[in-house]
Amino acid sequence: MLEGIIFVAVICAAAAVEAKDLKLSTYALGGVGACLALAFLTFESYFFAAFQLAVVSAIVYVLLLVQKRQKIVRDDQPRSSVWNYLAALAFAGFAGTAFFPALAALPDPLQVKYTETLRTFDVVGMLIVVCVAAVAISSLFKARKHKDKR
Amino acid sequence: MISYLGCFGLFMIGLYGVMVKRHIYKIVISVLIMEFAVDSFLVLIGNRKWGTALIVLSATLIAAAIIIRVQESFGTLDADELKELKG
Repeated sequence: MLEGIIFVAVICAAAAVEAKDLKLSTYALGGVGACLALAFLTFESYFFAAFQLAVVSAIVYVLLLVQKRQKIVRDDQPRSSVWNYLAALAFAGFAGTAFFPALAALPDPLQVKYTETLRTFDVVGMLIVVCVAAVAISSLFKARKHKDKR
Repeated sequence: MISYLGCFGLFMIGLYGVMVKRHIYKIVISVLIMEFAVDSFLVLIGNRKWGTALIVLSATLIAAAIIIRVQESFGTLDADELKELKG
């Protein structure tokens, strides 16, 4: 049940980030928040679920209000340069290396041990960071060579 | 375990949006997704606190104010264009 809710939240989040229509994007964000409220429901905390739903409604209302006031309708701007992708990848690597040991350090409710799988994830994260650094440095050298030629 | 990885995925989608999108409104939405990811992770490990929801709401209000002020001052919400403006 909980896995299904998180799965729906991930789909809503992807829609919110990628949708061109900003109204659709805002409603998809509301969907992510509503999934969190549903997660509260699975723990039978009805009060927190209602509170979460109220907060999410307020967030969507504020964002729609801003859209209406500033007349922001669509996001037709092209994506950022390839450097931003590389930076995102580097951050993902760092987050990966920090996240999994942190999971292992958490107390009882989670009960996750720092297993071989997690260790592999940690190593993969480190590898991503090293690869991105290598690409960045090599492209810097290329750029300098190009400048010297000119 | 799948749920925790789902939360991590949610966080990564937000991070992707922050890094790749140029429209400030979209960047705000991506940050909110990251906050929801952290919230759901806290819910999953059983650390249910309602302060987290209020923090998300406050962040939204601050971001809304910034969006309005930026568009009124510079006439654009393109992060790359804003970077090039000199005062």
